[in-house]
Amino acid sequence: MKGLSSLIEALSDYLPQVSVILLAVISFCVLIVFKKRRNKSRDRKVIYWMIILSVIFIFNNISMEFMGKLTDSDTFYRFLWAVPVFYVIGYSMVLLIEKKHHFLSKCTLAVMVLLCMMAYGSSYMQERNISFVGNFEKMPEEVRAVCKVIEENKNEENPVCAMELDLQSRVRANNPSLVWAVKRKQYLYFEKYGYDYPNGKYVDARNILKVVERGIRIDKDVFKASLKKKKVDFLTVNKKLRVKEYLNEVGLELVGETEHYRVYHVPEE
Amino acid sequence: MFVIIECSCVIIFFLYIFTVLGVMTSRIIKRSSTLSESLLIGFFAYFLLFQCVALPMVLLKQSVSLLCAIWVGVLIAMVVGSCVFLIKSRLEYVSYVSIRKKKKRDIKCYFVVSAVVIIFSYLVIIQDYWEWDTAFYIGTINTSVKTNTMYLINGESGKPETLLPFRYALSCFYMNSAVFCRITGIEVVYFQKYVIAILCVVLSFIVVYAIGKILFHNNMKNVALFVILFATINLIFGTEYTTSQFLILRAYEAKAFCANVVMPTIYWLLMLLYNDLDHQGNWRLLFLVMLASVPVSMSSILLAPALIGIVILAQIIVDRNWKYLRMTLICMAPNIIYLIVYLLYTLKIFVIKV
Repeated sequence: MKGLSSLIEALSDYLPQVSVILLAVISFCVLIVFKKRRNKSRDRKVIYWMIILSVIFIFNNISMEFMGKLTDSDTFYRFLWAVPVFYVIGYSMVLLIEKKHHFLSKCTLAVMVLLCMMAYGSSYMQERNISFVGNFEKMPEEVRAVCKVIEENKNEENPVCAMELDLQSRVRANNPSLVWAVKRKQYLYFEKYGYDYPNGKYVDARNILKVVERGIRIDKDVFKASLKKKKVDFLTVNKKLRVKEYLNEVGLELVGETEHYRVYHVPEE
Repeated sequence: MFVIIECSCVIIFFLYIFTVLGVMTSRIIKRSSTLSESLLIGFFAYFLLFQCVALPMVLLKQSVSLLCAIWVGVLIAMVVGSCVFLIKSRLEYVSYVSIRKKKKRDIKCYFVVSAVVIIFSYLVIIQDYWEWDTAFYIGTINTSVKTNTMYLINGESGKPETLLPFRYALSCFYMNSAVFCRITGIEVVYFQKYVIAILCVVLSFIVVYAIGKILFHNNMKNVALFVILFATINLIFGTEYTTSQFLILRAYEAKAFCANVVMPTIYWLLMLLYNDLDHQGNWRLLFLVMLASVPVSMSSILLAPALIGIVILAQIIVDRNWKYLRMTLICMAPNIIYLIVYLLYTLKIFVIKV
């Protein structure tokens, strides 16, 4: 049963992508079979040349390297936006519906609908993505509360704040005077390699994140030194990490509490 | 409740400005356009105009308040000019919305398409997606609004920039949001997640509708079905590399406009040109869209010229008619210029210190 459930999980991960590709291929075949065109020979030649030119200028390693130098090789997938997949799928389905009295078109349409249903598990209309009117502001109350505590206790115009990712990603949308202590690329580095990766990179960010994200009680002097190097003014920690005594021993000053978080001020030395 | 009314008023204002600008632009480029096409054309004309005003101010490190002052003047001029234009043309353009000339079945199809757009817009605005890019773009606009600067402070981290980041600063899309948030007082989160997201959905379905009319030769029943299927397929397939992620989850980002408005508009124009490469009006419109593509989204800098280059070059090779190569290169020129400037920035030859 475990093997079956892991198979189902793997299928649900890959099925949407496979379904889109299959649908696109079937749609293309539908257009060739069902669509009447005046100048088939010219159309075919134009399509062949478009594919050849796409490979020469876009879908090859040299272009990908060039794109990587220009922006980011991770953004190369945007060239796929030039392929009008959904338009082709929609067009072919309408053609099939028009010719629904043909047996072949009925079968093809049934297969396409089945592929759509198989992909539904990946749909964006999932509970986890949706917030209803109760969260019209798109800003959790906790974020506002933490920002309010920091605003009431800050001495500087732009305090540097360290907090867990969920909170940090939203605070500047609420209060742009706050400055992140840990940058995005540092977060992503530790997400990829973990906190115990034997490498000297981003040492101070790693020390701060170990406490703030995982509640790991690292050496107090090392932690204090990292806070000083990063010029952190405020530290916000989730109550469930249970590091209250540890942070008191480090010498941080508790300035406020919300429902889920404690906000500490890092004193100047 | 007041926020909902404010956002709705801003959306209606944008739709009005886009439509009027589109009608005037169609006249200038000598291309007859329907009401929906005018709205689409006006969107590109608006951001092109905004770029002409905002980009020099961004490069000269001017304040958002100065940009607001100038842009308010331009908007007032647009509104007054549009009223004069409509009155002078004896409201002939109002006949676009005249339903007396339309068939009953076509009217039902317009309602179906409108209903799809409204339902899809609702499904988009209830999404609660918040990732790194969200933090960056909303942070950038919020920073501009509160600090009265444009791209001088990193929107994500809040730290001052050392060089003006051309990757974002060359496109003034987000500064338009900053201007409107400063003028109206609407919070940036609401403005992006409601106003901009709905505009993206409306414009994207206008392009789908326009493409449908070509594919089905104005058979409105099939066009309505095409729109419904397009919406359904986008909702069903939650895959990372398609445009649906940007349309549903990230419709407030400039990249979403690139994927769902700019690129499809280029498909639409290429389809029109495929049938008639001699149509000057469509070539002029393609040039306008290309000129406005980077002001809308920096992601268009390579995508848009690559698409038109490949499609038209393929036709030129097959037909052995090289006279269209000159027009293709002219259309690609704006993006190539932006690309050269951006390359000079990445090579640290042309930078602006902050």
